[in-house]
Amino acid sequence: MADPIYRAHVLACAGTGCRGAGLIQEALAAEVVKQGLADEVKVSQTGCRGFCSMGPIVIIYPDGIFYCQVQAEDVPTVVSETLLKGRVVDKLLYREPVSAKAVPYYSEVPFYQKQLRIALRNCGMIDPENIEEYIARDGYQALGKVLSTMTPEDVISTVRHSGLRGRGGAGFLTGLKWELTRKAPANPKYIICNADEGDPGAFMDRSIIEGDPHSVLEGMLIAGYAIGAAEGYIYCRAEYPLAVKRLKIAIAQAREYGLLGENILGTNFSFDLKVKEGAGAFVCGEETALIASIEGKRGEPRPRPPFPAVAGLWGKPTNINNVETWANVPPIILTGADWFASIGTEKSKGTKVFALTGKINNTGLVEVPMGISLGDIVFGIGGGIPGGRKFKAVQTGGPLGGCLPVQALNVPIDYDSLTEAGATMGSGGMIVVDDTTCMVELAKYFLRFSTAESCGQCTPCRVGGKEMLAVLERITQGEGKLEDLDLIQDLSKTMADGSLCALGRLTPSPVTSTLRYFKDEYIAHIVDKRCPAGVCKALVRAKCVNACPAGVDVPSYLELVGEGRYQEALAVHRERNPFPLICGRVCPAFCESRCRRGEVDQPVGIREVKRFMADAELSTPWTPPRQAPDNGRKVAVIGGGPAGLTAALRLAQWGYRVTVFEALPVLGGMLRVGIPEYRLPHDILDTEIAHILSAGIEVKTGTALGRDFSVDDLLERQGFSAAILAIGAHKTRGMGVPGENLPGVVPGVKFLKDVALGDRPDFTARRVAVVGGGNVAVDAARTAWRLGASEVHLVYRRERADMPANAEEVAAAEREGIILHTLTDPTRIIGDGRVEGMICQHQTLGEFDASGRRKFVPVKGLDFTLDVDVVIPAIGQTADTSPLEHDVESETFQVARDGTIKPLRPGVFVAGDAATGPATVVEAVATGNASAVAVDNYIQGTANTVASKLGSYRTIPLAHNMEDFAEAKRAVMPVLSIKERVGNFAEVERGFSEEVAKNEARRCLRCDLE
Amino acid sequence: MSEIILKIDGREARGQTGDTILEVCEKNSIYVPTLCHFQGLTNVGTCRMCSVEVQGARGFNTACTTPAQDGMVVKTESPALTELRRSVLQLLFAERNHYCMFCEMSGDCELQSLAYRYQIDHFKYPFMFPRYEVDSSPKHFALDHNRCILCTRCVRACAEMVVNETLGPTRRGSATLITADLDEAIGGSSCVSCGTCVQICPTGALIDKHSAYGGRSTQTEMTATVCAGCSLGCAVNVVSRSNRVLRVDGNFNSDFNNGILCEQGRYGQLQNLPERHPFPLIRGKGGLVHPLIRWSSGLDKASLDEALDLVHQELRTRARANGGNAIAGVVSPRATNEAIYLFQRLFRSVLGSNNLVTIGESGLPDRSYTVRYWGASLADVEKADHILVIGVDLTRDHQVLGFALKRAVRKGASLTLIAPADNGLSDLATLRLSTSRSDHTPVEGSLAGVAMHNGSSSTPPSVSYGALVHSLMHTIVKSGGAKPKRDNDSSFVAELTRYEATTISKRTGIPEVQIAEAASAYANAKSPVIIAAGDDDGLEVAVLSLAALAGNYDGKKARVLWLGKQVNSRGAKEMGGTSAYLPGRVTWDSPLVQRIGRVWGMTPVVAPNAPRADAVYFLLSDETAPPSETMLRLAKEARFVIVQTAHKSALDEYAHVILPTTTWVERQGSVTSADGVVRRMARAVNPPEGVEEDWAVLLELMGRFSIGPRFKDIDEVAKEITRLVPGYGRQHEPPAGTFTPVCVDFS
Repeated sequence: MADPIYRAHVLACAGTGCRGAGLIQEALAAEVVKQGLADEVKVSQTGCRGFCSMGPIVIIYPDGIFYCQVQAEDVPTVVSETLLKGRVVDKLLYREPVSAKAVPYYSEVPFYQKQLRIALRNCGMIDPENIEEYIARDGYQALGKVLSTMTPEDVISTVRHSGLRGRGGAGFLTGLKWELTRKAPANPKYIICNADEGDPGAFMDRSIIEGDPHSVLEGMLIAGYAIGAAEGYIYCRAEYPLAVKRLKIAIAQAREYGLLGENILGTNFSFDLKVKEGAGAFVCGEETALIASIEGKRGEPRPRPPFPAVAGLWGKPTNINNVETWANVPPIILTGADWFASIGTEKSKGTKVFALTGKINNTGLVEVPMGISLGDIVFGIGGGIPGGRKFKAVQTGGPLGGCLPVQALNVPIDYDSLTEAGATMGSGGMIVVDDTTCMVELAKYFLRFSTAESCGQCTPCRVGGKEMLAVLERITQGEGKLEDLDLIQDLSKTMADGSLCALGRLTPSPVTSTLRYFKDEYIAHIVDKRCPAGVCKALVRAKCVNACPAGVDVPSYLELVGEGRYQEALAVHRERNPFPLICGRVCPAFCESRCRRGEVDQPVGIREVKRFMADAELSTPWTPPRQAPDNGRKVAVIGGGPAGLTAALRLAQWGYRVTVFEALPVLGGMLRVGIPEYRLPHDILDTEIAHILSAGIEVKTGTALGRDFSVDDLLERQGFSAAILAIGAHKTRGMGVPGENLPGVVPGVKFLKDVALGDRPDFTARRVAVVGGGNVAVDAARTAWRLGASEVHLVYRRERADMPANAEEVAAAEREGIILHTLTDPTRIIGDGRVEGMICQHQTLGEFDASGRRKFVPVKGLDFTLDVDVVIPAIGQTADTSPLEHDVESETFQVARDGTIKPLRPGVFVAGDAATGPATVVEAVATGNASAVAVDNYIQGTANTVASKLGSYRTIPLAHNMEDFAEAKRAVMPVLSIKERVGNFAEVERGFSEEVAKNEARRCLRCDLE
Repeated sequence: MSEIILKIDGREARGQTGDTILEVCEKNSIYVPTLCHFQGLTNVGTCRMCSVEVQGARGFNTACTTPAQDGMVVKTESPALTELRRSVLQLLFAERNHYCMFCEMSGDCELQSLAYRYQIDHFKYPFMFPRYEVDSSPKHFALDHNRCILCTRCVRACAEMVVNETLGPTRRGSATLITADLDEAIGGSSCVSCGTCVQICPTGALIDKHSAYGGRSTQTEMTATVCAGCSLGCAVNVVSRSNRVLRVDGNFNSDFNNGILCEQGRYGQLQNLPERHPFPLIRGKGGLVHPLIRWSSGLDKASLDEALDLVHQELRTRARANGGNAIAGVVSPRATNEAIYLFQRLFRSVLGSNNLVTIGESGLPDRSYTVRYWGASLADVEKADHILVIGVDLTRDHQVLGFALKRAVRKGASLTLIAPADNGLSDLATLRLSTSRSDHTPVEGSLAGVAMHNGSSSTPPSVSYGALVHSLMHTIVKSGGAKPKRDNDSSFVAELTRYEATTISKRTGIPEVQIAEAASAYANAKSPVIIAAGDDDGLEVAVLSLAALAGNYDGKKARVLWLGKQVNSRGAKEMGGTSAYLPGRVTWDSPLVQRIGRVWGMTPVVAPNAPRADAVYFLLSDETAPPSETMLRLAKEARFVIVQTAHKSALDEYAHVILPTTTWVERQGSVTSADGVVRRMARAVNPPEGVEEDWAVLLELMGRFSIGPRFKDIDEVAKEITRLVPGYGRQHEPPAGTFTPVCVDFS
């Protein structure tokens, strides 16, 4: 009996991912009855909608209203508001993450807009347990067409012509496989559907079966006719109970409708299907192992040739395709090979379904045309990385696939490009990872999976995998050796060349691909004994310590602050970083970004606590302890910034006679001339420098390298045993636009330096444009504002999220009234004799660059002019190496590796921004420590690492009841009001009270104790 | 099948369609390293050692699994292949404990040998050293997982050769272990202790407990000979060192049992044997007098001459005094053809006695309806489409045949089983005709009868298997499924009416329909084999008749395997070891008796059986079964008893002369096994000083008589046998361990 005509259809997702949705559908149906709408509204269950992170999803037709994360308690409202009164329930609508704009209609949800759904055409649209709904959407039309109008050869030729390739991963031409099976001489022939989806993070096949089982049946029927088979098997893992149930319902219904069984549609064609439930061995996804499993044997692959097309199930010709491949067949037959071949790339036709999971906003099932870029999937459809973290890599193709880094975001998704990039299409798993994922650990995870799933037959896979796992285990334990990387390559080759089946051949892929793209992380584990992502337990004291470039023992000093033992807390801090006063004010607090407490509520205010403990002891002068007697050796430190001072301090503590040469009249480097006083008052800076100098360091200010002395002078004539170049990065990069030399254009660094040294221009009634997105740009803008500028514009060519400056600083700048222009790039500075304006061009985002950010592309015809008097370019700085040209080659300036710093030439070391490029204070401190250790090693002939030289960590026992602080929220830093900031450089942040600071410190979860 | 030509390593290599690359390489003497491959087992291509490069193919292909194709271009050696093979070996060495110096197989290990070949002079990968417990629960061998390379040769041997399916891999990946049943200790599992897995293991993972550490192949000798464990006569290699037997190995070059042995063959013949007689013994030496008196003193050591002099004197005197038939000869079918022939020649030509009995044989002649009697080989069994097993449990004895039968059933052969319900093959049978044990037809008063039946001839008669087989014949004839072929067949057919299925069904309780089904299954088979054994008089010939009657018998197709009790049961009959037959299995009413007379230069005479014997000569050879009650009674009642034996037994008590002889590993000569093939035995170890072989003792003894034949040596004996026993003649041509079929024509 046909259904009555309803005025509204409510579709509730009932995929496994939205398990509760079964209840939602029932609740909706019950509520519809309760509110008297049973004759007007029909409630149906559907398969997976794909947008799993937003599930359960309910769509109401005819309007296509899209509700997400619908809970049982929302049901009465949905029925009464939408179905009864025709009003949209705002709180159930999908909101765009950035703009928070509500999107009421299915067709407008960005997640779906870039998708093209062929295999998933019915998923989420029909009730998978009702064959009539499938038939209503052209179901079994293709079968009818095939049986009534096409010969088997026609069918094969159509499928060949469409260019469809196996969606199971290997990408063999489907039509060709059918033809080979058809031509194989033996009989009977069999058809098998491979539904043994076993990769972690993959649910494509499950969703298709759960959402649209008949499409698979129809595809198999068509192939049965084309190949000449009368029997088929669907090998579905028993862990997919819903899929198995729906397959069985579908088969029963198809039999009932005469679509399976004898003489289908009145023709001579007979075909029937059986469901074989697999026991969950991953290797049974390999076709020959799958066949063995159906035959009742241990699921082990066998060598090919002979291929299943020649000798498969029970030794007979057998055609195996994967679920998604089968689901593609009916549309190809119905709409035509040309249509299908028009989608995708030259060699990869049609679409591909991916299961998008991991660190991604829009977790779910997506189907995209081949050739779309990886970045489009991750950022366009996937909505980017949650929590504003950095995209790091995508593992495609499951545990046997590979890892693709930011550099691969532009790679088009097709079989060949992915293989070339070192990954595979696989069956379509796509696991996104961010910068909190350790790539060695990730590789180990997949390797452990594949190794555990190895059937154990062939030597390379069985033993090679185990050996490789042992190597990775060793590396993540901090016991790796550099030779291990060769061992990995060697094992990979043996496994890839020698294994019997694809499982063994591809098991090394996650390892080789991460080694290809993230070799640095491997080396960090092996050489530095450091896990950059802070994951590998054996190498990580606590995530905050690991995140700190200088390795400051955060949990210890927090504990000590919590107990009121400030002096001890400072001692702990100064072991690694002698600038607690300064870093308590200006540190970007890498520690906080990894704080475990942040995963619970908000990270501990580590920087604020640090500032409190330093301020608390401000009046007590610190004299750095001497750790060795005078050894009589002289070391020169060139540059009195944080890196130089740190190095000088360490060397003085170890008994060296240190002289600091500083070109400027004052010490502090960028601390003094780069960071404005409202963030770092000069008296604080002076106090901290005085502490350091009290270690017995000679200072020569106003003495410039290249002008007053050379490195050769120091080493060869003045008796210095070694020199450390800590000359900073003070040279502002040019904008490269016409007019940048006009008066009124002041480089950001110079501007800040002049202000710091007391040369404060009056910007009253001046309009200032600062160009750039880094900390220097923001500092310059806020400084200009304080100097009385009437308008301050901050012009940045990318998006706000891409700005390298601290987000808090940017927010503070905005609060102070600074006007932010993102996606804007200056093309010319105009003016007659001096700056009168800056012509800017709107930008849009294009491909991804090597850093994983999208490149900006000018938008034609949207130029505008900013009327400004002052332009402050702050688009990056480099070290000024000109004074060195006689001493060392500037090209050798590079980030040093291996825990210490390699000499540029014997006796000459580098530290700070000069080594790393513009960076933060704490990074400068880290290089200062490292260069000091390197100098010590150089002079003494020792081989200390930074960690061994600076001393080991001591664990401070927990002295309070952690439970008491379980609910404590992060304390808020008191700041000067905007009004109070005008026209002065008073410090904006006011600091914590003792009580607040102690309680904040006690919020620490003490991961170091684990 | 047609010839294909490949180019391997730059040279032309010829093979057949269906060959793998490895097979083509083997045919062309091109070496390819292997570990998991073993001749006769399914190739699984898992060790990867045989990887080769095939032009145009992706990656490497394993030679053992890749079908060879005409025109294929293959490289078996290249730097890349060497690197891969070395890596594979490195991985195997790293995986478990392969410290060769502690291993029993060091020197004979395939893994070790490949390591030398590929110059593995250091270890590249860290050792994993899992510590697995050694399973030493089996009686004869131990499984040390720590030495296992998971090649699964043992698993496949167990499943494919022996079809016992005890061993299998459990767990997976590198945790894979070879275990029995569902992780049982092998000792308590379904294992039948055939030891095939032990012999097939390429490393020291499966080691023989009895011979472990007894010597490497370079320190031991290997002698190809014939297993004396049952009437199959499997080919074995006896491994010995310094004249001591270490173990028995299967001979994988044999085309009979293909290296497969059973527990009895591999272990049983060396274990728990009775004590040996190392020199001749004479009772009451010195007090030897004539006429006949009974000595009471004990047995004394004597020289062979002394002993034989005494035997000669006594036999001659007694034969003269009481007639030849007063002297009885009892022969074990473990003795060689040559010894038995000489023995019956001594009796028939010298002593004038026909009072001969073979232990375990009825001594009654077969019926006159006779056929050409070949015999089924194990290969015939394996190729059969239908197998009829009567009265024998092949899981208890003749196990190697049972293995072949299981292979046949696995390939699709149907099996009709006529046996008691507890037969071990019951589960495999397509059709099972269960009947209680067959009866024993009482044997008319010959010595033979009593000797055979252990005195139990009073068992109440029921329906014999022979009757059941006749009933099958009757059903076939009635349904027109077969027509008699010879003139005298009509009388035979008339006789068959006594075995109407209805009658037999009533008497046995076997449903008539089952008899009909069994008859039709046999009659419709294309290549049936009948396997039978039993004490039924006439069963053997009934079975042969069934083979002939089915109409599909042409001397090649229908095959019968009549299983004897001992290795030379068939030979004993063919050599004339019972009173019923003259050599060549000639019955006394046959015209061939005249021919024998011409060869012997005298007319053999049928003499009546004597009710009791005055003297008995037991040619026990290396019989280990205890003597039957009948034999003991015979000895007890006789006045003079000669026991020629390797082992001590209860007969010794009655013996007046004990003549020591050799055991099967010390023996030369031939046996004729159940399939009708003459198999030559070889001497693996030398007998103790002064112990002579049966034939040598008999030659010596015959030389003491003034009448009778004069054989210079064993060759002359063989020549005479050749003239009388068809097929025997070629026995000296092939080397030991290979077989020549015998065809006996009964007509």
